[in-house]
Amino acid sequence: MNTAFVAVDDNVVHESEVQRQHARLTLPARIKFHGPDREPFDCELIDLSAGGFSLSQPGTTLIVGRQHKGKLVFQVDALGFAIDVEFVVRSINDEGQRIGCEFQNLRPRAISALRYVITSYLSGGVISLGDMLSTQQRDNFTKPRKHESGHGMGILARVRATAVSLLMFLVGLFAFGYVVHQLYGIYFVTHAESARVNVPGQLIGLPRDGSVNSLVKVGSVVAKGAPLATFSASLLDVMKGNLPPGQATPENLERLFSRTLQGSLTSPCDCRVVSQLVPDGQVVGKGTTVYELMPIDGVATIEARFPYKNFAKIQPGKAVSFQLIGEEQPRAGKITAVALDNGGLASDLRVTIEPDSPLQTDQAGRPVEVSIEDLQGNVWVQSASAANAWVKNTWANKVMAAGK
Amino acid sequence: MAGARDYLREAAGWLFYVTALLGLALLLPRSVFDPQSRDFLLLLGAVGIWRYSMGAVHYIRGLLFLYLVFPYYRRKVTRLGSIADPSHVFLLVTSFRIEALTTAQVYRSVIEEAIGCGYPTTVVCSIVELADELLIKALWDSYTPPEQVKLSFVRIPGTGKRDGLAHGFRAISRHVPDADAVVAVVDGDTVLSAGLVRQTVPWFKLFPNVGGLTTNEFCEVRGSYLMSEWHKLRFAQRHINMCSMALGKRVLTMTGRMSVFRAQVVTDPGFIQDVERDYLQHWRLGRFRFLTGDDKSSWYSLMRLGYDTFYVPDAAINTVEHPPEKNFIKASRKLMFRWYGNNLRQNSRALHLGVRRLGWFTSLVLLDQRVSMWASLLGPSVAIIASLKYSIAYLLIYVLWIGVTRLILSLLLLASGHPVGPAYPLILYYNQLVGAMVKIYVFFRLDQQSWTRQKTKLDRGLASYQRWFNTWSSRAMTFSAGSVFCALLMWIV
Repeated sequence: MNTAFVAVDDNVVHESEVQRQHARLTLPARIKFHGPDREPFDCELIDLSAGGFSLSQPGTTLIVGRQHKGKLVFQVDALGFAIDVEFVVRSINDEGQRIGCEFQNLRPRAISALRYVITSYLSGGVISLGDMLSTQQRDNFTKPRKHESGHGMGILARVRATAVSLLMFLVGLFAFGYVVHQLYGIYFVTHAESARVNVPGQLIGLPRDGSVNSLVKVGSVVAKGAPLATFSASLLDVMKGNLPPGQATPENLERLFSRTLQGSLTSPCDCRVVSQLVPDGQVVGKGTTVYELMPIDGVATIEARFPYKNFAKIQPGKAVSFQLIGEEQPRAGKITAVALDNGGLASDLRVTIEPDSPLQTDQAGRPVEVSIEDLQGNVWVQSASAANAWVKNTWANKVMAAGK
Repeated sequence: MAGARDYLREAAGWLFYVTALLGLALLLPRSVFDPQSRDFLLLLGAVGIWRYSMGAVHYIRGLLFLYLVFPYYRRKVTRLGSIADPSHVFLLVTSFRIEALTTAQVYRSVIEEAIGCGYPTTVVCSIVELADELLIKALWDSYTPPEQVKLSFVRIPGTGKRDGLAHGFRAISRHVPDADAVVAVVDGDTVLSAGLVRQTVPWFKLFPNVGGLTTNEFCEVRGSYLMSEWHKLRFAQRHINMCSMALGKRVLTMTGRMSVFRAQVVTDPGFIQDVERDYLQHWRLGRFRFLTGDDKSSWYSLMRLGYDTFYVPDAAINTVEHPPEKNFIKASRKLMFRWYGNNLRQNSRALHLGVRRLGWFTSLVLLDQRVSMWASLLGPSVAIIASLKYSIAYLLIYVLWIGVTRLILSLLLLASGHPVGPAYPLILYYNQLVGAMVKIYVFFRLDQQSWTRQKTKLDRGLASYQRWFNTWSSRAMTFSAGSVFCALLMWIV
């Protein structure tokens, strides 16, 4: 065969592509049956396959589509071996030269006998009666094994599964909410780098070189004019530079040195003592700040530092929320002023925030966490999250971080 | 010449990989380590120690077995000589819908092996189609086997490999094998190398409590470069793991490709039952039957029946891998879905066998398999979260870290004797990441199983509520687990 030709010509189809369903074999066998008018037929087969057979009966009375019952007879070891078959006449060609029939409703036994005959014929084996009988005796067809592919659950198990699944789903939802909240915090909330409560205060300095002896406690309130502390200065220091040149004899100096001058520091306002910066008895220089005082009627604001890149988000009048260390509920406020830190160009933004509800002045100096929400109307996220303990914990962490 | 070209290409690949790593190192900012929260570094360290120590233990155990313990055993077996001969060898081959060329290769090797091993041997063919039977008969006739070698057929409907195996085992039972007989179970696409039976069979005499053993595996992949490297990497890793587990005689899988069992085991009705209709009772998904993973079922049965399992590293089989898809990602995802599904389905009930049966190390390994996927995702997740919260540098550090560690891991695989290519570090990481995600997906969908080669799925005929509930709850569980994982990390980082 010319393979080159096969490759070129599209009309040539390789045989294996259009195979018959069943190979037709020329086997010595006969079919016996009754025709449409009860006339007996007994004729040689032209060929036989697993699906049907064909026979030759010129001038036939058979009708296409008619079903017949008959016996297929094989000659095995000089014995006639008959198989009961049903078949339908499918085609009549050349006026009965070739009548094609198809098996119908073959029983398992007939199938295995046919298969045995055809297989042995194909493989060139000899059909023996013993093999044929054993083929027929065997139960060649078994039902598929019954496999239970699993089943559902009882009511109790179902209820339990549903309940546990629902519970886990709720936990998942909660966790998801937390993740969304965190992402919101990262992308849509601007945080101050650091912030504290600020109250414009008064600083009390020491008028002379000397030591102080405090009369008030830190945190207590002092009225305007009330003494804060006494201070003692060495007379020598007071007189230093004022002594006439002739007087600076060692004896004079020694005398002056052992003398002290007493005085007192008074409060310039109705104030709260915020801190005492110099311990009692320590000798410090003139002008050193001793007390930090806070007017009682002073207004506390929040002072926060933001990176310069947040410029666009920090506008005076913008609402912010902040949280004081030690407090659980966040508070709200407004930006009142924005300035450069120390007035330099290489600095961050210093933002003054006025709280919506006044703060206690005794909270001055406390660290604060300030955040600006870019999307308004998301305040509910904050309030919802503030309600659970888990989140509180992180807040505390953050405030600590801000405090550092 | 071709060899030199291959070497050059490999070398270029490695150079490219190392250059990329160095470039990454240069990209890093000078002062990167300034974390605002140190908790997560601690967590990352702890998880890292756990993961790497687990790997290191496997590695050391594997090498110990491969280079010290096994040669010692091998000498012992050789000394046993003909005392270790089995009374009869059964070679059970299951074929279904495998192309004729492969089938011919497989059966030729099996028949040659049956004749060559010199023991009384029966080749049992569990097949579906008549064409296979004719083919095998023709091959058989062409070899004219000696008296002691016999051929036996089991023809069954093509309802799956588990049925094929079960019918094959029953056919072997009908031969009434004695206590010394062994059965080698060979898959329809596995070509045996010469002398395999002689290498594997004597171990049953040396270790009276070993019920089954399995062998080393090399593969030829009919697919792209990446696909074939991926398979080879898996086999190299498998080799080390199997060796490690073999040290305690607890090899965790009886490969369907080629495993050898005691005939006693295989003819045990309980064992056949397990292989044929294994099922799992799940608290949420109800009861469902296993379709795939006969290798895991047989391992579980052996453990339950009180046998040990063993691995023979110097006996190897060659398999032809046909990836289920052209696309590497799709194909690997499908295969992982199948493998990890089989693994996890087996895992929970295997743990129920208890520490006393399995031993501490095996229990630990099984437990590790259940949770390792979350640990695998921990690194990248933390890196991403930290890069969102603090600085992109964290992601860069992480990528560099991964690049360096995977490089070292790939080089360590050289000790397994399997070839190592420049794509290995990347594939290693791909495996870790995608593998973990597939594992998590499968973990909540244990009832979903499908063959890669034959598209058979289990129709459980469940009531509509149950079906709806299974789908919904599987999704809900995956969602919850993922959310809780992310939330925990966001909280810590």
